[in-house]
Amino acid sequence: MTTKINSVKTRNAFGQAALLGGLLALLALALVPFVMMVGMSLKSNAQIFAHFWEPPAPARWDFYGKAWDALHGYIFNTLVVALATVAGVLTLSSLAAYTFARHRFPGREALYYLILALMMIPGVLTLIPTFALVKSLALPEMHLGSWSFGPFALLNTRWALILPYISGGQVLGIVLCRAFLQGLPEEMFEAARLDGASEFEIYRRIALPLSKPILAALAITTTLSVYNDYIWPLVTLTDNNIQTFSVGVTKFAGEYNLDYGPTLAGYALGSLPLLLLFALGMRPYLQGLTAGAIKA
Amino acid sequence: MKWPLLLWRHRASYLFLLPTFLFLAVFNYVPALSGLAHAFTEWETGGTAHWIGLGNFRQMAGDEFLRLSIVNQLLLLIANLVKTLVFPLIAAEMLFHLRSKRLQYALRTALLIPMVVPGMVGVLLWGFIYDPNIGLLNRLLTAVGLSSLTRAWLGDWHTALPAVIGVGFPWISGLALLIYLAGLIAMPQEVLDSSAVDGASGLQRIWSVDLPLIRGQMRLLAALTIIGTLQDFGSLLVLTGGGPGLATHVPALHMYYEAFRFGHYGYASAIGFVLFLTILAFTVTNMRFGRSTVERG
Amino acid sequence: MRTRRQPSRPIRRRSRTVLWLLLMGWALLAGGDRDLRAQTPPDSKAHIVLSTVSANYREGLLQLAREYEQKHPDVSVTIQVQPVNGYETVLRTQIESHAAGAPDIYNVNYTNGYYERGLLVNLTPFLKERNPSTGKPWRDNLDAQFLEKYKSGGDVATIPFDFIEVAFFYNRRLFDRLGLQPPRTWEEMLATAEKIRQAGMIPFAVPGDTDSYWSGTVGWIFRFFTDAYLRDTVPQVMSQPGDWDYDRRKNGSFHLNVGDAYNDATVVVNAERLLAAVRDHKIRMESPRFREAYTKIFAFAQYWQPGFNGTSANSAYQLFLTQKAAMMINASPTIATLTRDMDDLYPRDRFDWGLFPVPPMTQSAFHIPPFRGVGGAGVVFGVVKKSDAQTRRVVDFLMFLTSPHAAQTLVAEATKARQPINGPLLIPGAALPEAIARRFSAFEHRGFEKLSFRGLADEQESVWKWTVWAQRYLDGRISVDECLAHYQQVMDEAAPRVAREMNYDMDPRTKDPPKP
Repeated sequence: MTTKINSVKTRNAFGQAALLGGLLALLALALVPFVMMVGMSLKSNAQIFAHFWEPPAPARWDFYGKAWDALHGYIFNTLVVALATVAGVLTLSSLAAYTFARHRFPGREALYYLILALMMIPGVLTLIPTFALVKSLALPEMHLGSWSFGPFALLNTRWALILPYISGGQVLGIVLCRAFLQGLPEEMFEAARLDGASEFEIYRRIALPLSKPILAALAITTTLSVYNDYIWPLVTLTDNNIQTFSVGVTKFAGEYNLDYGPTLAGYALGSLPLLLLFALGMRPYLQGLTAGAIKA
Repeated sequence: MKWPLLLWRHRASYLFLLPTFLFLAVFNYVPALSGLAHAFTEWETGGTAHWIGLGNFRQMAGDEFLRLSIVNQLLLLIANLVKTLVFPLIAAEMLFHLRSKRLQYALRTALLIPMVVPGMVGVLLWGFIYDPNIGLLNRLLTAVGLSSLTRAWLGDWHTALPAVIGVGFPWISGLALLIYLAGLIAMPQEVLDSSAVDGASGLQRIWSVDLPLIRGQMRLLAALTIIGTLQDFGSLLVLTGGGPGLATHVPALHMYYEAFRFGHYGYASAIGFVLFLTILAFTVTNMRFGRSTVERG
Repeated sequence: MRTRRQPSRPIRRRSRTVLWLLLMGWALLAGGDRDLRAQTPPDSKAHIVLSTVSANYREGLLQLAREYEQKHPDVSVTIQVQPVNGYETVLRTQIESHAAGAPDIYNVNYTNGYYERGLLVNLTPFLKERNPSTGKPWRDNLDAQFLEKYKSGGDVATIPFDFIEVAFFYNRRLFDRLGLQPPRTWEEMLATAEKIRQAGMIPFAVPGDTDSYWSGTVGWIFRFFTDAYLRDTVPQVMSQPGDWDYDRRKNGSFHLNVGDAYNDATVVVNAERLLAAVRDHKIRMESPRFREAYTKIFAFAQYWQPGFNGTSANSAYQLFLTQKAAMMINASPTIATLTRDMDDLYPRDRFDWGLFPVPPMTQSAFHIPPFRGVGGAGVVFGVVKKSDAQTRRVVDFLMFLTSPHAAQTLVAEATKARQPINGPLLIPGAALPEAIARRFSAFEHRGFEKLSFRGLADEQESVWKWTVWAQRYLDGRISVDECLAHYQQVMDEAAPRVAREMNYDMDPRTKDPPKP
């Protein structure tokens, strides 16, 4: 009996080492483009051509200063849009997903499939109609007694990004949150209902806190997609003061500019807020997973 | 008489869904329906759309390049399914079985780092890796004495599609990893304990215990992959433009060219319409398939 | 477990809800206050928007816009410098939906056929008018030959700004070491390439990705080849007496002379006659001429770097810059880029380089004229059709931009910002920096082609389909006959499509108006 346990232990120790080795190898491979980006961002063209494999010497940190001067405005703009979008997406999708997952009402399936169907519409198909729509969402200047309002047009404002992003982003959000909430045991919700809690209270006090891990993941995914979108801000925003990073960085790279260093430094700078988001967002996400709320 | 009452009784549910559907109606349904409706029109740059019924679909039937692109699309779809279903699962299982929680946390975080590279930047970096003259891959092969293997990865008929598939290697998608891990961690302790008592070996356990329990997650990821793959053309546009020849051409790219390079919106909408139906069919099959085997309560 | 945590929850929840609302409020406000600024142009002011991908002229355009605003306090001018990637998408969505902020002036070569589809202003009537910025008729300081080349359906809808021409770049240090001279004929060039290859170097760095066939280097090569091989068809497709665009001064005295590369430079080609020639197989892809041209290009491609079909323009350029390839074909903006990049290299990696024009082919079964390279305007601006009043304002601004003073500003600011200059400006009065002007003199400055075929003229769908077959052909996957058979089919499909889209009635005697 004891020998068996021992052998299991040594096998486990060996297995753990193998697991660790395997994971480290995967990690190394996964980081290749990232390391390449950072490494090349510190080299001038001459250094890249002549000393491709060597570490940057001297490291051209000034490229980062150059990139920061040109790009910090765009990064700020993207963060504003991302924050507003995440707020909207999390609110709307958690509410709708809770309803779909834990409520029974006529038309539930049909409505859910109506949402699901949207995921299947190719983006190119809706690009021009959506643009025409956003363009048409404008109000002339209006006067109500002494109170004047407008003129207001969606195009070329941050709203032209935020509103469609919230609307489109909640589709994936609802699907993810619903799948998550469906996996929770019904007793929790039943208990609250028996206590006489209102539906909104159940959503706010039970569904929302329990969804924390999936909401954290959703926040990260939404931020990423806002960050990565290129065509939509390119088409809807002409004012450079509100333009986002993904467009701004291509302007920075320029038409004939073949300088890899500053361009990649710009890319790396743009990744920093995301890195920060991951660093901050990972902890609540992990807590949510390990606190055991699900297993309880 | 009965219906209004029923709806009234569930008013809270409908109220909760109201904001969502208000947004969707304005920003998604109207443009989507407009796009789908234009599939039945001849609509060219600057002009007005004329109703031509099924004309665009007849033209599609005779479109040789579109037909050739379907084969690439199927290969890409299969490859992408394997990429998102298998590789993140391997990583998730490895992480899950790591005893040290601290290591688990650190490695998980580190594996997510590539996610912070903006998507298009990632594609551009891979383009640089594959570059025949100055790229990392060929330089690496030369450095280790395998210069006979160097080639124009994205320009060679035999390697263009595999190279496109290779983008993102080792394919540990952050989202998939997180979803799998959440699924594994949420697995009831009793199930783990009982399988340990049964003495199931690692692989056996993964196959017979883990996989059935995370089938829901896999189904979701499969659906997302199918949708993402059939709609995506951006990375192909940047990497190959569909070439060499048509070696990496796909229907979504065809649609993009028709709409934004040739100005044939009506025809592009028709391709979009068919893409929509295809994705719908795939997704419904995926859900049916998943459900019939998961019918275990 | 859950009941234990319950008591603290309402408080935490509430504070979190407040935080959430605050965050949303901040985000919305941050969105909001910018909106106000963006949305309140003083109502009294007229707006002109110039959208361009020509980032090298950014500083000059910005300065000119400020100058113009000072002279015209009632007008505000916005310069939008857009990335190339996605420019066509931006233009198509904004212009076609007649958006409020849609550009008034933009690089019209990114939207083929917009004039024929009625989206651009016909500038012909304005050419006779006095340009307030110079005091002379507008056409006096525009390049007549280029205006002619860029006419759409006989009308001037695009104003060419500067000139881009293609030539061969060679590594002089390497040529000296191998005892080579810049070649004077096509055959000599291939012999030189053979020597370079035997010395263990890549003779030519040529990008061959899809972009290169579609709109880059490989496309240029096919264009200057077909231009020479189709010279004999010029008399058939030029305007004849009775045609609406017949000009006796230009076409009346024309006699084809293949000894002179530029013999047909001023001849007016009638677009409907050209299209009819393609439709009726007077211009045939499955013909001995095309067969020889394509075979010669294939032979040329044997001296390009291996794997050219996977090489981007950047990558090919770097093969030359890092001295792995001895020659490259590139356009005139590269002169400035190469000069700058050479300065950035380590001194031991720098090298002297030179230029030679596309050398003439001497051995052919046909009488073909010397190649005249490819070239054309780099920046071509057109005016989007909006209201008549807006058109007047925009044309006035465009007149200002084409004054000698403006041209000088563009060149000076680009030079100051270390930006490349595309080539000689087509507006008199702009002196180039000496070092660059010397390089430009290697180009002949007349070298644009007339009848050049990759696809059907520039019609994008046929260009793309041609790209697919040509890429296969140069890769050796299909024979020259298979390639030309497929090409013929592409052209047979394209001819009626182009006639429909351009609104041609195929009668050369009548001028067909742009679509309403």
